[in-house]
Formats: sequence, structure tokens, C-alpha cells
Amino acid sequence: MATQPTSAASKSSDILFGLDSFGDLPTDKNGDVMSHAAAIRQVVSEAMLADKLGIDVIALGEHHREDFSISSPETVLAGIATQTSRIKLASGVTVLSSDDPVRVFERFATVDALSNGRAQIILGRGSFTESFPLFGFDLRNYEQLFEERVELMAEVLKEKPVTWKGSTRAALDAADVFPKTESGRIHTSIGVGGSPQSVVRAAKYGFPLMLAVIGGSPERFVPYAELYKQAAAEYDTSSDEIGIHSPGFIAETDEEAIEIAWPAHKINFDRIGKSRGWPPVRRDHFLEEVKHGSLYIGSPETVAQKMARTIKTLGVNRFDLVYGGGPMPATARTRMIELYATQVIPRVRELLEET
Amino acid sequence: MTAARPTIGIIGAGKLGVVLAQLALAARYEVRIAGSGSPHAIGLSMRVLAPGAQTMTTIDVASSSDIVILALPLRNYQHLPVDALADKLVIDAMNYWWEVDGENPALSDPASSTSELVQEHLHK
Ligand SMILES: NC(=O)c1ccc[n+]([C@@H]2O[C@H](COP(=O)([O-])OP(=O)(O)OC[C@H]3O[C@@H](n4cnc5c(N)ncnc54)[C@H](OP(=O)(O)O)[C@@H]3O)[C@@H](O)[C@H]2O)c1
Repeated sequence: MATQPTSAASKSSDILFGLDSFGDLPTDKNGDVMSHAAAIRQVVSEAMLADKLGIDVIALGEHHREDFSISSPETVLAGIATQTSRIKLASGVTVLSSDDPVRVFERFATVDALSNGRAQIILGRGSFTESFPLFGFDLRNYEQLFEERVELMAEVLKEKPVTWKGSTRAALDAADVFPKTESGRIHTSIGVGGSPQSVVRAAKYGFPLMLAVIGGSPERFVPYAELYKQAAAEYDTSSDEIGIHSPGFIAETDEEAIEIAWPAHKINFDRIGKSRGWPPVRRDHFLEEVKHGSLYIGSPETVAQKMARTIKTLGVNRFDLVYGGGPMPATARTRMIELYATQVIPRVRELLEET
Repeated sequence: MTAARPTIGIIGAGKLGVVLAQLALAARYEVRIAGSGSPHAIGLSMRVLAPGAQTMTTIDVASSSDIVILALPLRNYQHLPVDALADKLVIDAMNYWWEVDGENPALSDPASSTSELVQEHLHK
């Protein structure tokens, strides 16, 4: 299969580097798992550090299960907004199928006001669907809910009175939605996990694409980036922005990174696997993913090399690194953010300059 | 040699269906594939992701292929075209995935496999 870069990701300085979290519960200095509340405050302090060190984006995803503290990303983003000055504040993702586009807009427009225009939305169907029964949605309408809500979201984002009719929500007749943003537009992308229909949908509405690649070789997604471009050409929309979201962890050495990440990863995945019928994760499989797959784990040099390779191969212009998966020491997370900002990102830019 | 090979039909053109189509094409099989809607709706996706796969309606895939692989969400198995699949070799790749199929005791009953339910449905 052709694995040519699908776009010239122009200059390395144009590439955005982000951090992504679901608010996993870290461990404190005694090795005890933190409370949900402490874990949320931990994310806020990590975002403040990321802002200080010049990381471009912090993206927070929603979960509605015990092992994660963030169910309301934009509330946490609002907390971060007034404590930071440069970093973009994104969701990652907003499960739109079980949310209301009008409310989503209102909440993010509020974050946008608090942050002087730094709010971003990443919409998704979500691979976890615990929000459906919780909010009273029927999984049988999984596709229809997303399709309709993306359509309405695209309208609401224009910040003009909306007239809309569908079957999963009350109709709107010239409804105006507030607060208006100062820029007139909240940056909004669609996150996809390998469903071709979702890629085409993103292009149809002209939303930037975020590819969630959480396992296997990133090269597999080259054709999806190509599909996005061709679909955008067909719908006459822009396909300039393509990003990737993958998990990782950075420590001083490869060995140290693996020794810290592996136990946390295993607990995290085995817990999720239990409800999904997956067998327990094996260390050799984990190491295989670190080597050839989509876990960006290792020393700053190892992670930088791997990220640069992926960015080149896929031709993306944004990389959001999901950090802190599973119960990991809070101090290790902080150290990882420092290494990411001060060593990995500059090194990736350098590697991208060398052709 | 390729002429003697069975044609492979795939019902469902999502994450799994695409990968199966890519693998079958790489192994030089003739591939026919359908999504839930019109062939046109998946035309572009298949041209880019699995070039060479022919897009058709579900019924056409079922009736014109020698082997048919089921790669649609399990919750929709009752929409399968039973008559068109009669006497075909059908391979069921569907899993019960409660996160998208919803809680369904009939599908999660450990006493029977979901492929047995599908088989029973196709034997009607
Ligand atoms: N993803 C995996 O890694 C994986 C691995 C092994 C097994 N499986 C199983 O494979 C099945 C499909 O999973 P997936 O991940 O590929 O889902 P998916 O990405 O959501 O794709 C489902 C596909 O099935 C189509 N479809 C839905 N209803 C249909 C119908 N009545 N007739 C014909 N096509 C229909 C959809 O078309 P529209 O978009 O047009 O509705 C879509 O193309 C599931 O049972 C899953 O458990 C998946």
C-alpha cells in the first residue's frame, strides 16, 4: 500500500502539539490512588504547567465511569481558562450523540469568553457509550443521533439564528444562541476512530479531522487521511487540518518509561477489558505496541523519533499525546509534561526540518 | 488461477468491512461490498480505502458472491437478506458489543453463541 505523506505538513513550526487526558486517577506520594476531586485539581495544575512551558493544546475527554475523574470537560477547562494565558482548551472528545448541540455551544462559548478565545471542541461518537443509559438515550439510535447532532452543531456554530428540524431533539425556529464569541467561530473538529463514514462526514461539514489511533501501526491511517482530502474536494470544503491523537509516556530513559507506564497501562486496560470481554493485556503485547504500534513510550529521543515518523507518514499538522493512562504517580506525570515540552517537542520540530 | 477463486462478498463497510476488503483484495480475491444504504454512499470510501472492491446493494452482494462475510453491527442481523443468502457459505464476523448494540439479554446469554442466532435466522 502506498504510504506517501498525504500532505506537506508545511513548516514544523506550524505543527501543534497537545496533551490529552480523561482525568485518570493518579497516585499520590504515598502510592494511594487520588480522589476524583484531587485528580481534577491535578489536571488543572498540569494544564497550568503545560501553558507555562508553551505546549499548544490541552484536550480533556469525557468518561462516565469510576476510573476517570472528568465527566464534564468544559467545566475543568473553565477552571484552567482563568489560570492560563496561551494554551488552547479543547475537549477530546465531546460525545455529541448523548449531548445537546445548543448546550455544547453555550458551554464552550463560555469557556471561550473566560479564556479570551482559546476554546476548541472536538466532537465524537465516543467508543465508550456509558453516557447513553445515563442520559436516557437509546443505543439503537447510535448513528442517527450523531448524524443529526453534527448537522445541528454545524448550524449553531455559525452563530446566526438557527432553524432546524430533526427527530432526536425539539425543532428550532430562528433560535439565537448565546453568548456570542468574539471571533465569531469556535474551532471545532471531529474525532474519528477508523470508521470511513465518520471521515466523510467530517469532510462534508468542513470540520478539521482528528484521527484517534490507539493501537496498531499509524501507517494504516494514511488512506483515511487521503479519504478525508478526496471527500473534502468533493464537498468543496477545506481539508487543511488533520491531527492525530495517540497515547504515550515519557521518562528519562526507555527502561524507566516502560517500568512506570506498564503497570498503570495494565490496570487501565484490564479494567476496561473486563466489561468488554477482552483478555488481560500481556507485557509482550504492550512492548510490541511500544516498538511498532501506537504507544509513544520511552525516553525523549525515542518518543520524538516515533512522533516525527508518524507526523511525516500521515502528513498531519497536530499531535495530541494522551498522557497518564491508569494509576500513575502524579510526580511522573508532571515530569513527563516537562520532558514533552522542553525536549520532545523541540526535537520533533528539528527532525521534521531535516527531510 | 484467479478465475477459479470464489468471489467474496462483505456486508458492512465500516471498520471491519474495510479491513477485510483490503486483505481479500491483497490476496487477489474479487470483492463485493455493501453498507446499509445505497452503493453510491460508500463509493468514495471504497475507491480510496479498498480500491478494486465493487460496491453494491446488500441483496446484490449476497446473491452474487460465493462467500459472504457478515461485518455489520450485530443488532441489525435481522435485516439480512435471508433468501439471497440461501445455500451460500456465510461467515459471521459479528460480535456482541454491548457498547454499541445496547444491553440485550438474548445476545449476551452464555448458553448460546450469537452466531447460532444468526444461523437460525438464516435458516428460516
Ligand atoms: N472493529 C473491529 O475491530 C471488529 C473486529 C471484529 C469484529 N467486529 C464486528 O464487526 C461488526 C461491525 O463492526 P465495525 O467496527 O466494522 O462497525 P462500523 O464501523 O460501525 O461499521 C458497520 C457497517 O455496517 C453497515 N451496516 C449497518 N447496518 C447494516 C445493514 N442492515 N445492512 C448492511 N450493512 C449495514 C454500516 O453501514 P452504514 O454506515 O451505511 O450504516 C457500516 O458500514 C460488529 O459486529 C463488530 O462486533 C469488529
